[in-house]
Amino acid sequence: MNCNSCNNQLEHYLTGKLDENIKIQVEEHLAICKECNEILNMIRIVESVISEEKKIESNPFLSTRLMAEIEGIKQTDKDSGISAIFGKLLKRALITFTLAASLILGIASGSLIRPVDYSEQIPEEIAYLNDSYIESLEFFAE
Amino acid sequence: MITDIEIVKRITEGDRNQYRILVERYQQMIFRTCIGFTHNQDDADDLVQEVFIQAYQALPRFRHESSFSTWLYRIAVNASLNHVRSNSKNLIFHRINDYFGSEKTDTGELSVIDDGNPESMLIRDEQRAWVKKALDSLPDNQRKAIILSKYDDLSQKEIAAILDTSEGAVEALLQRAKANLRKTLSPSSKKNINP
Repeated sequence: MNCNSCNNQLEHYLTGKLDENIKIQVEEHLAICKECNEILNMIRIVESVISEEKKIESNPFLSTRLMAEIEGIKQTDKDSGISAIFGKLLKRALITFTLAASLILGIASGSLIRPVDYSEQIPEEIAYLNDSYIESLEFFAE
Repeated sequence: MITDIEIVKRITEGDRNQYRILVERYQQMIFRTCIGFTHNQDDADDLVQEVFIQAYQALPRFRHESSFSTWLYRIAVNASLNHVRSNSKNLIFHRINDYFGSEKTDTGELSVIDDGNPESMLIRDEQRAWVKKALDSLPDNQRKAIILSKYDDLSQKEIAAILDTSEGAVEALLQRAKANLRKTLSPSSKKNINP
């Protein structure tokens, strides 16, 4: 038996599914081939890691937890029809309210915030300013 | 025993509590598929829950073109792959962790050791991580085929139905997966590639 034929039989050899005749040939080859022994060892480790993970049990309360979750989905399905309509209305109302509030806030803040030196009184210089020379009286007389 | 088809029919007619029977019937099978992809019990439990919820929500669209279990396995395989892809951040972290952790214990050769000795246990952990890493590095289709074959003990015919392909294609996928695993796990490649 060569290495290729031996490799093809190694998995079945480990699971004990080989005919007695082939099993003897595999064992004879393994007795003289280091590489095939390494491959056999590797397959053994892979199988052992997989078999360890396969032994792990899933959560025994999963079905109960899952059914509770599904009840929640059912409830959400019922609620979703009503809440969808209210949701749309609420969304529109919220957008309108936000726009109106922004507008009012903008106007209010615009009239509240003034320059530091702003005064509604006429500055003294302007009050006493003699502007008679700027505009001629004849202009108004015409 | 009541058949899957009958249970599905009852659920779609409104008796949703019947779904518990399907969950209990397939929970462990789907868990094995999920743990094959995640190698983590908590993640696999969460995935099983996600798979059954997805299946429940899609049940009205189940057309009985395949058996319920085949359909459920398809959902499980896709959900598991999506999960491992979205966990790429964790994968990078694990790789860094493995890289720094592996230098001390890398023996360069795989061997079955379980004598309770702390050093042997360390080597064993290292081997476990190495095998899982080799499984995870397989291309998606080979990975699906090998997990369904090794973790769920499904026949090539059943795997072909789940993957929607021919039995010959599944056989080829399994052979390529095993060859890739041998290549990755051979002592020479273990010395050269970081896990």
